[in-house]
Formats: sequence, C-alpha cells, structure tokens
Amino acid sequence: MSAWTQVMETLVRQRRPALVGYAYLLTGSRSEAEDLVQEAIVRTFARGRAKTSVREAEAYVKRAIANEAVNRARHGLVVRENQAKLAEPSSHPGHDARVNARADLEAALDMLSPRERAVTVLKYVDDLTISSIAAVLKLNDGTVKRYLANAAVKLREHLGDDAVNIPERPTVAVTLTESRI
Amino acid sequence: MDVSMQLRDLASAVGDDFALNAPDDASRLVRRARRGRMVWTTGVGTAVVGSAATLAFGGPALATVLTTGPDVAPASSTSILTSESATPTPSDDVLASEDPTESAEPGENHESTGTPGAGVIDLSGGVSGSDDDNGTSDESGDSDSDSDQDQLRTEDQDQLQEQEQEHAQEQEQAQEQEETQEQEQVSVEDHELDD
Repeated sequence: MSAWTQVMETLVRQRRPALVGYAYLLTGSRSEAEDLVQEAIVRTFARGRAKTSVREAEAYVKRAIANEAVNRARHGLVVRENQAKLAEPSSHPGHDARVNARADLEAALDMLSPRERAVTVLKYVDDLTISSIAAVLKLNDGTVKRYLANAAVKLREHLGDDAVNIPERPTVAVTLTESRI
Repeated sequence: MDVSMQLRDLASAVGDDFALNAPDDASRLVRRARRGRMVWTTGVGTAVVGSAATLAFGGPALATVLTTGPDVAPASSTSILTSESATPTPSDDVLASEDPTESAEPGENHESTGTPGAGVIDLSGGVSGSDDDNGTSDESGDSDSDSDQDQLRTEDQDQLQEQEQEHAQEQEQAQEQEETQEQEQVSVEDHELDD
C-alpha cells in the first residue's frame, strides 16, 4: 500500500466527522456537507501532489471544501435544508437554551452570503489571518476585510453585540493644516 | 458566548452526529481516488511524453514542413505534362482543351502542384466519374459547383460529338475517293478494251 493511500484511509476514518462538521458550517446542509467532503477528499488525493501527513492532508482538504462550498453556493447548487426549519418557530416546549442557540446561529449564518460565510468560518474556526484567508479564497485583503465587517454586522444583529468581537479600527488623530501651494 | 466557540460547537455536534452512522466507505473512496490518480497521471504523462517527443523528433520536421512545404512529392508529379502546364485553375484548362484525351492531363497537373488537398480532390473525382470520360470527371471533381460540372460535361460531350462527326466525314471522303479511283480504273480498262 502506498503512502498516500495510508494517509487517505487514516484521514477518512479519523477526521471525516470533523470535516463534515466543518463543511456544514459552510453549506448549512448535512447532505451537501457529506458530498462536499467526499469530493474534496477524492479530488485532493487524486492529484499527483504527495500528502505525507494526515494533518497536511486535512488542511488541504479544508481549503478544497471552502473553495468548493463558495463555488457551489454562488452557482445556486446548494439546497438549503434549513430554510423551512428556520422559518418555523420553536414548536417544542422542551427546547433548551443550547438548541435555541444553535438554531439562532444557523439562522445567522444563513443570512450571510457565501463568501461572507466562508470568510467567517475561516476567521473564527480556523483562526486564519486576513492574508491567509485571502490566499485561500483567492481574494484581496481589502475584500476579505469588507466581507468580515459585513458578516460581523449581520451576526451581531442576530446574536447580539457580545457574540462578535471585532477589534475596532485604531483612530488616528489628524490635524488639519493649511496646504501651502 | 463567543461566535468562535459557537461555530466550533456546532461543527463538533454535526460531526458527532455524522460519526454515529457514518458509512464505512473508506475503501470505496480510496478506489475513486486511485482511479482519478491514474487518469491524472496518465494525462500528465501523455502530455509530457508527447511534448517531449514532439520537441525531440517532430520539431525539426514540423518546422521544415511549415517553412518549405512537404518534402515527399506525389507520384504523378514526374509526368512531363506537369512541367508544361502550370495553370492555377483546372477549369481554364478544361475549357481551353479541345481533345478529351488531353483533358485528363490537368488532373495530373493538380497532383503535381504539391498541395495534398488537390490530389485528394482528384481522386474523389476519378472515383465518381464514368469510364468514358475519366479525364473530364477528374476535372469535374475540381470544380466547386454542380453547375460548373454540368457545363464541363456538356462541353466535353459536344467535343466528342464533333470529333465523331469529323471522323465520319473523313471516312465518307475516303470511301468516295476509293470509289472514284475504282471508277477511273474501270474507265481506263474500258478504254483499253475498246482500243
């Protein structure tokens, strides 16, 4: 058995549930997340690039999942299973606070655009920097910042001001002086 | 709670739910990846080998063909008639030639021009033509439209008819001359007998 086969089998058996959960954050659909993970794994290992470790392969698969999720969502391929579920109020009286929080979070994520959602996941789950997010999604740094700011506003509207802590931009004191021509 | 923690909790919850009834299809995924890897490797290998072979062997030959034309000339280019007539359009040759036997020669001229397309067209025309007018059919194969082909065929038929008429007239004249000679011999013999 070749090295890449061992890495792939280990990744599938050990890290696949975590990857499905990660993909669910990006898609909002359980079936779509499973399909996305499967395609990303096969695509990652079908290429000739050598994957020597499970950690490296998982990072590569995560990038593939993020990009593919954005592409599919932008082309309207994602079927949002949560649309009907979120439209209904919580009918079960036994819902605890945790379930309500999860529903609120999913509703807040559904309000984001595909790129805003991907940027949010890469920022708050993977702890990537702005430049790293821009490199993964092939965007400019300024574009990533704009998506993050828009996503933070939407998340705050649904989850409260304490949910999203975005460092405020440092204010620079500007003194206006007469320009000499 | 921070949104980061909420997102991670949600992901872990979905992952745990998936792990409870996760399909054991790791071997199937490995087979899919291996198939895709084989296709990918074959495609990349073919492209690399093909480009290398083209650069190693086909590059100079391709450059020679592009700059100087094909080195191998058609077999019919050795005919003498090809050097005599180098008209660019075959239809002009057909219209100018009176002898139907000569009309087959421009078809060979097209093969001698060195363009492979003309030779192919000549072959197709020869196949579609009849046995009586192979030369004319070759010319009709070179023509572009059906109307041109019909005109060429009618002109060739007219030429054949004129030649047949001329041949018949010559035969009649020859017979008349023979008859007159016989009559003269008979008259000479009659005179000799009378004398």
